[in-house]
Amino acid sequence: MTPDLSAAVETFVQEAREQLEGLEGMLLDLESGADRDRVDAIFRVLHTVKGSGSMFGFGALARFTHHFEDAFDGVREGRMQIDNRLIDVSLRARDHMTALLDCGGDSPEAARLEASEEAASLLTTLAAIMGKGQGSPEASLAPPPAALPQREAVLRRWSIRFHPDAAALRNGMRPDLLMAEVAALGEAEIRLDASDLPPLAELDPERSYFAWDVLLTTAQPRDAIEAIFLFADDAALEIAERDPDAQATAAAAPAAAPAQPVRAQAAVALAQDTPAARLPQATAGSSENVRVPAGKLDDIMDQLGELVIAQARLHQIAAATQNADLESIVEEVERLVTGLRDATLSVRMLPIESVFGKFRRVVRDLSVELGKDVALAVEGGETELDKTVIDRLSEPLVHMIRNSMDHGLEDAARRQAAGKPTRGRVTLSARQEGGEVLIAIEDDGAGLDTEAIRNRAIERGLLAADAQPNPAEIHQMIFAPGFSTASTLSSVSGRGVGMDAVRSAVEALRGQTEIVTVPGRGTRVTLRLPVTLAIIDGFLVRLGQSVFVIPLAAVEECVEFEEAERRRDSGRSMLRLREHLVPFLDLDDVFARPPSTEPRRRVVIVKADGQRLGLVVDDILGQNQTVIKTLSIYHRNIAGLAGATILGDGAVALIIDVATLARRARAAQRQIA
Amino acid sequence: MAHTILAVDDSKSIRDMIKLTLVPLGYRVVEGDNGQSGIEVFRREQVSLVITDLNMPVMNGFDFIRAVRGMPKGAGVPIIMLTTESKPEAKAEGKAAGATGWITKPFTPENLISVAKRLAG
Amino acid sequence: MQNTLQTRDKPGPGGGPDPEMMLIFRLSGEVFALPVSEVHEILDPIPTTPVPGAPPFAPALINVRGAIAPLIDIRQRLRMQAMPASDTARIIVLDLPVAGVPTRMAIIADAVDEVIETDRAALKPVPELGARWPEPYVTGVARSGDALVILLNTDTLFCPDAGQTPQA
Repeated sequence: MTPDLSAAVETFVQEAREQLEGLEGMLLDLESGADRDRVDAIFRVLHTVKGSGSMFGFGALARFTHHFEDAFDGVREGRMQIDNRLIDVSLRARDHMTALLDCGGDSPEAARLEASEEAASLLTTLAAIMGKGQGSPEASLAPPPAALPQREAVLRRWSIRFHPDAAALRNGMRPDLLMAEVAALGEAEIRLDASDLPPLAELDPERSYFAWDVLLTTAQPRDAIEAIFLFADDAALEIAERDPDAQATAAAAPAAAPAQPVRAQAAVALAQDTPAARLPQATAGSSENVRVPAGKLDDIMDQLGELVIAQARLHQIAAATQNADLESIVEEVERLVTGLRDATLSVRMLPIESVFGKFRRVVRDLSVELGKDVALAVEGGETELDKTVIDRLSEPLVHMIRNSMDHGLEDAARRQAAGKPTRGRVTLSARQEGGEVLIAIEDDGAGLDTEAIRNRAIERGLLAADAQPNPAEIHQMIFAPGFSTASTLSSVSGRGVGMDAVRSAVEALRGQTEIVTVPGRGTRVTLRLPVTLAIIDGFLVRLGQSVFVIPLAAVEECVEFEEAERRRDSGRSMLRLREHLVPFLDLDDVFARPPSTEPRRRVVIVKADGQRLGLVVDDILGQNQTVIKTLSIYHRNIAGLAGATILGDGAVALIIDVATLARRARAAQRQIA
Repeated sequence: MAHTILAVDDSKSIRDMIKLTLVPLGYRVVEGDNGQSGIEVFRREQVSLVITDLNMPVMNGFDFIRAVRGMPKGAGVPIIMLTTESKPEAKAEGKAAGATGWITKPFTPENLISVAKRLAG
Repeated sequence: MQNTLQTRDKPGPGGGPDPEMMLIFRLSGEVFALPVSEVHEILDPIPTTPVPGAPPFAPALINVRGAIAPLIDIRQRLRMQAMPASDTARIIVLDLPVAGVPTRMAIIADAVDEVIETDRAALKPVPELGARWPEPYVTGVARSGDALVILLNTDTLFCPDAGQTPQA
């Protein structure tokens, strides 16, 4: 029978992918010094991928990895030195392994990769570094023997002598089971050879003194017999065909051949009996973690979203029924659902390190490509974000780092002239602040050239020639579609499509981008992202018959809306809140609704973009758990909306994008001022 | 009573493969992800056969085999080492440590089944 | 050639002129047809949520069994007058790729009539009617009994960036 191993294959792919991701960091670590632990850890990754790869149908991956592993074996045994050349080729080899893994096994695509120029170049380079020719120890990596081919049932006679060594019984050898297995192959005459048995007084009960001689008549080929003793001590096994019938054996001989070289080696090994170099212990700890495919997490999240909505409906019905028992159980269910939600969301949280790690490689490769010496500093890698957010951030962050290195940092000569260290610095940092995570990419370059951006914006029709925006607004223009200030096109950052893409990606995650620049000192771009995407605490408000949701995290307080308190000095809409003046927006105006006729309205004070803002609504309905659904392509670009959700009564409610409204309020104020 | 087989490997895919192959045949498979955790499991369980990888973090297979052989309940229990090394010295060291034999990776489910049948019964 | 309506065959699943099942519905006094293969389900009218700032073509959202779908008013694109909803009104829920993304959306119909089999190759261009309908959104006109049935081009009709109704 053949067990279904597809689940194990899946595990292998996941495991290998993680290991290759980790490998990149390990290789980069070598640049800051190669201690024994690091080299061992790298060797172990290669060893595991090779060994498992060949078992799970990734032969091309295993064969390639073998050469790579050889190199690190050389390092381990002190035959080779770690230098930049080795790190370079190792990083490339790692990429090649990833590509082979992505082929999903031995496919035509994998074969193509295996025969590719990159593969050849890598193997040549590895061989050159190791100081040997192209000759490769392919033989030891023969693909696993396939199922035994059908052969003619020709009965042959074998004589088998099996003489386990003295420690065999102590070490768990079971000659009885072995002999039973041999007998099962055909007709067997088994004879016990006890001639070595000492006198009883000298007998060591744990020692094996026996040998077995078997005369076996079977249609099975030699390798079937050898397979029985597969695990056993090779040196103690002799198999010979009794009266070989040349014609009959011709078919079987080639099939038996592959087993031979390995056996020969094993025999040599036992004869030498040299103590092998002890494999050193490494530091990685064992973990109690369970691996879950991301798709399953998404499923759980979807179901949880449905549960939250159903629970809201239940809540509504219970409230209308006014049954105390029902209400108390509904409260209990609500508490449990909230707990389940928080637990599920926390499972989805990953440290941002997982994506930061990649950038070391990006920075290294770019340093070479751009000829700029750049150090990358990473802070706050332990900050956690929803997995979806992290996945979608990876690309934008790469764009930003490229921009910083390509456009932000000056070349060495200019840095020196400006009295800066020649080595540029890019800092990647993350921290949590309330319901948001702030990710910043900062460089110590020349800063944005306000005038150049302004000119380019006018040239591109993004700005009227007579417009007088402030510098901050001009800097924002680098996020505009099709904008670029680089006077020479560079393959690295392209034509400035990067920053546009960054903003779109961040906004699609309900986040914002901010940019701060100091001439001569550098530029910092900050991404503000919600910690989670899927479910938030919502604050329900009413406008006429419509219900809207304001993210609770943004809500500071609610006050009565006193028309009298409204100050319309110079046309501004300001609200006196204790001793402060707070700008406000009437959501009826924002959403182009007919003006409200309700006498007692409310103001929800929210904080976004670091400023307070009042939102005038007809009424406040309470809180709920809001399962955020993204808007379709028809509505995605409507300013002021962050998504939609389904309320307890089944109605659809829109979610207000507070940050956009805050920007809008600020812009309106400036215009008036 | 079902025989219990202890699979020690830092690679979950290999442990999965061992499980997927042997559990349907009625064996019970317990796992350790390195020598250290393997020893803990071995202490706890009545193991009929040990299948262990050699190159593992925390505690490698050789030390694990030596540790098992050093325990009273470790005498006579077959230990099979899994090795990608065609390196003879690794096998020699394994044997010296007390391994019953080895299977060279890549191995097939059939290899595994026959070894289990032969050694665990 | 502005006044003639071309019959543009969309290749069927097999690429040949296989008869295709079409859903026939009425809207503001006209009869339209959509491929059944793109229809997910038909619902009785349900409450809608207007989206402020939305294009008049996609004015609202509805809840289709826990999923939020945009409600599309095809009259806007077909240059038809809006009319009050009829008693027989239905919501036709469609699953279509929009800009390459599988999208669930809904359209309003005054009534849903029947499903007919139509052979696209047998469609006749009806030149005298062509002028009434913005060409990009209509694949042809078929005759079903006494009525003229306008076959909608779902590839273009639901395209979000089609912008304004094209001028004829």
